[in-house]
Amino acid sequence: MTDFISYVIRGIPFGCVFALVAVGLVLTYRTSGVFNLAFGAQAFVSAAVYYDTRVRHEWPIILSFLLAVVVVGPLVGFILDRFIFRYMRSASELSRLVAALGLLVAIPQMVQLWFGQSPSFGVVGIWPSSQGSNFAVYHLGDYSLNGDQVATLIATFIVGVGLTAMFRYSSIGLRMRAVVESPRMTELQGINADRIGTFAWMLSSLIAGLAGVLLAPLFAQVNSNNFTILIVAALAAAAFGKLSSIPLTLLGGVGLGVLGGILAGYLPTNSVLAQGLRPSLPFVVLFLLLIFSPALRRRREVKDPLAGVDPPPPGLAAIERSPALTWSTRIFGLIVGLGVIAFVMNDRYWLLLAIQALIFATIFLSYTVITGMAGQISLCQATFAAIGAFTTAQLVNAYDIPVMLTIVIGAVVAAVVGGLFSIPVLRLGGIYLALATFAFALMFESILVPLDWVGGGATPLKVPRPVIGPVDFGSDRAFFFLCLVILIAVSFLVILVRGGATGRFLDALRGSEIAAQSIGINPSRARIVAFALSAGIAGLGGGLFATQVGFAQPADFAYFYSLFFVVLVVTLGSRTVEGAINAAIGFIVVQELLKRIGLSASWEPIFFGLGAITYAKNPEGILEAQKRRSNAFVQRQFNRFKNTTTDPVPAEPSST
Amino acid sequence: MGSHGLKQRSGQRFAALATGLVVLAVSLGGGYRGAVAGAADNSTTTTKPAGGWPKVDQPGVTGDTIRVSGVASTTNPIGGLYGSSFDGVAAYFNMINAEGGIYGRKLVMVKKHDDQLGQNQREVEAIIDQDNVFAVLPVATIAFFSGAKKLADAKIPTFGWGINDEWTGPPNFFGHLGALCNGSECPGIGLPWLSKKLNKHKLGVLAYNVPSSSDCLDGIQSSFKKYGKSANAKVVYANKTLSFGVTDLSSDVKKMVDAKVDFVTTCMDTNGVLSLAKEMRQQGMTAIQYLPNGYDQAFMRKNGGFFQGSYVITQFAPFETTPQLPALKQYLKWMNKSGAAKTENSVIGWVNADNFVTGLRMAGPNFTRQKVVDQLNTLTTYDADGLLAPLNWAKQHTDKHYPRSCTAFMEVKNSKFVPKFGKPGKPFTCWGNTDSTNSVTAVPPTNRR
Repeated sequence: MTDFISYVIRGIPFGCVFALVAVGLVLTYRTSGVFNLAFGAQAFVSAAVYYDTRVRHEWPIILSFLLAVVVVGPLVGFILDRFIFRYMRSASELSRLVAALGLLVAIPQMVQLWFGQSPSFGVVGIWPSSQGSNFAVYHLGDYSLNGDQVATLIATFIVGVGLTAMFRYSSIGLRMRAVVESPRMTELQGINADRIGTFAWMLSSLIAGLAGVLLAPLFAQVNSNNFTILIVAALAAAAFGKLSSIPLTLLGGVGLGVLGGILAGYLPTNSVLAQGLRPSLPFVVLFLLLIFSPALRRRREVKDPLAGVDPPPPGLAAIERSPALTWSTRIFGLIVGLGVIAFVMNDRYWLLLAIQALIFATIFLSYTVITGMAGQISLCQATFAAIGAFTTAQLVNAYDIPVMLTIVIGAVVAAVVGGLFSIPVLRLGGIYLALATFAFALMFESILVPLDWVGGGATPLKVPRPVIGPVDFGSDRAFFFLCLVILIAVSFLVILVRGGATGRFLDALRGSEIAAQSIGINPSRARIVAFALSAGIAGLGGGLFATQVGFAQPADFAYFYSLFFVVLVVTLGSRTVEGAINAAIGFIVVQELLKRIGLSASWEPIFFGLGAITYAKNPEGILEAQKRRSNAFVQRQFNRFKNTTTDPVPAEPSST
Repeated sequence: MGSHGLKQRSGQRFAALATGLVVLAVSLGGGYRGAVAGAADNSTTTTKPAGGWPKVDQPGVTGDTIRVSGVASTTNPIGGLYGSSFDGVAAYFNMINAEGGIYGRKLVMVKKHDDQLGQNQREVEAIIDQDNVFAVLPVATIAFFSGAKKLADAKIPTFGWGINDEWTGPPNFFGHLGALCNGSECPGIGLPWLSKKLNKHKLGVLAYNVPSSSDCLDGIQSSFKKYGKSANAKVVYANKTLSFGVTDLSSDVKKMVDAKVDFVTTCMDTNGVLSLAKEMRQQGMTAIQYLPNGYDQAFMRKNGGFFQGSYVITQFAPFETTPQLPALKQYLKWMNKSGAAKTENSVIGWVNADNFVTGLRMAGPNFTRQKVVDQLNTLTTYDADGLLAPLNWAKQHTDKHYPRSCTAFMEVKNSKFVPKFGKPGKPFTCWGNTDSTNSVTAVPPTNRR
């Protein structure tokens, strides 16, 4: 019993870390309607400012704190509201989530351009003696806390109580929630929704800044990745609070820390259970909460009742344009494609880039199915690609099965996993489904990938190039054509599905689930098919990728690739096959352009991250929107030309 | 490291994945560049013969330049920045070019490719196909060296940060550690030896649940399985279930206190060892930490208060070696001239460049890629003028178990590194072939450059 109490108490300070971050997430969600995965990126901004002023320039603690938390924190919130989220109040939760994902990708890289890549050791907290020989330790019987933990405990308590009181007793709390529900209705009551929204963003950003400065000393360096990991771990606490209750979120955070402490205390070290459960506890808890919590399952997206006045999203450019223009485009595309093939066949480097583009295009087609057709955001497509890659690698190495067959088996395994995964999460929609996919990706990474029979261990498993009958795809040229054929085949499959019953069912479900059900559409079946197909396509791409690289290594399929790929594809176009191909080409070409003009590779996530913000305005992607404009322009010119050549010119009246 | 080394390769690679580059900031200076055993005399490469230098028909070689390119992880989302390897190569090239170059030709770094995160296959293709270079250096990759096969097939002399298995085998690859053999196949002798030396008997080992980190822990357990009896030490607490990023170590420290652990080692990044040190301080645990990836002046300057009495190691002559090695003086002089940071990676870059130039000198004025490779592989003692423990390139490519087990130990005192167990000017502690023995005392350590 004494041990149990000991483990419980020791888990509390760590639980407060989760609690503080989770409260920040819930605050942002309640006051802005944005599930702000970029919260960690905002925290990183303030942590970097604090480090720069306090450590590099040796400012006094109070000045550094005021600048980083009280000035920069709210300023970041003001900028985000004024330039991005103010215009997204009536957008769907998914659109806002995508915008937050874009910021998660872009903000750290932007800060990094200023902060630099050099090591930032010696992170100090706001507690005066938090370093080295002056490290403050306060003993409470058998237990002890350090200064940073004391500061975190106090801050978590103050923030929790303060925010609860604000929401419960103040008019500003009510107004903030009202603005989230319906900004236009709120304005009808004479409330300035813009001002309230700005205040909400500044407040949540202040909390992010506070979390950044308080939690930075947990790490050896100030690094954005640390804060992202922290956010990910805190999601479970936010889900425990149903994304709305501050006290429950606090309880969830502390509970998570305590549970971790108990598991660490009682699970035998290096037991299978400990190896699986201890590092993945927050993700397992998140996943279980999403699946089993009735409150989250029943929760439906809050929509502005007046949002219906917004025009419906426009149709695809390919549908709207004239057949003549379509065929002209196709012929032009074919000529360009043949030209590109002729070029890359004579340049080994560009050939490799072209192969990579083909493989990424195949993986990105999985987004065309799950996001473009089913209207869902999946944050685990890189995981499905990993399943394909690891299955391929394991089968090749263990059973000596022909490589091409293992790639197909890998795709099937990924499809089966995707289908099975979709069953428990079917009832979830919008951001909850996105979160479930994220939890799945993290669980896969922390539980399964470390296992030798999955990830292959410390030395990645080798995967040779396929040989099909007499054709050896060992050379890059031959492999290029194999990838091209697979991409074309998958593209046709996607087009067939989109035009077939499943695609139409999914279209109907996107419009109105209830109406779709009333005409006999089975939403579960359609979504399972979409998930399985999408996962299978990603798995196929993953297997191809492993074959191309020659290895299947976990680093190539890390969770943040799923985040970046979403941002990339939705920016350029998730609804069409061309969109996926454009995204793959963009991914490869932008990297190459940056390299050639001597710019840091950091600019790529900045470009695409900021590009994702346009998702709300152009859910079909920037290029698709541009294509529609171009089509309209060309059509106008075409019509003008037709009119001038076919319309009879009226005769000049005779003067006689 | 080599076949019986203390520093587990997988631990190094984990550190690469997790922490980023290790900064070494020292204030040393001087000037001398010693001869390399077996290499041609320096003057033969700078003194123009009567008929002029012969024309060399090799990729990347012009009448007045020898071109090279390299690839290193310069930017990526998870840290691990190896870009300073380029600085070491550039500084060495500046030194050689100031002396007149090699065979009348300047050494030129054509392009610095950014591996980012595992993009080195693509960058290697760019080097082979577009850069028109004679050799590739440095190669310093954060993840797997997936471009290795392309470079091996192209038979291009390649020099780099050789912590991955891919560096073992191809005759044209010259990693700074030579052949690699770790884990249960080649249990390291160094840590059990250190335990015995410090009279520590109960070891605690912590690792993350990622393969490279847990593999490192397995290797340490294998070491103590083999040498523990002789060292009178054993692993009494091992945990490889820690989550990477942010993890609560309070329960682990409590258990180590209960198990009376007196020596702690980790396969973790700087975040992990710092969290551990703080938790140990909080719970009053006084065990010594061994930090396999802790040789980082900037880190220790800021956090040394938590690591008083801890031990770190390097596989190259540390900057604190006294009297200072001439090669180190030379390195510092040219690094200071370039204004670049003096880091572990830049030292390795410098060593890579030295290895390359050694090969050029040995190959003679009519050098070819193949000659450089063949000549280097006849070298039985290559030590980069004392910066490395001697490597036998005649065996490194063929014998994975070739005994090359040397380590430079340092103790942390007042936030600084103090060399231990070596002799003046000879920082390395080395062991003989340990394949056939389970005793840490049967093969007494030797001290050599």
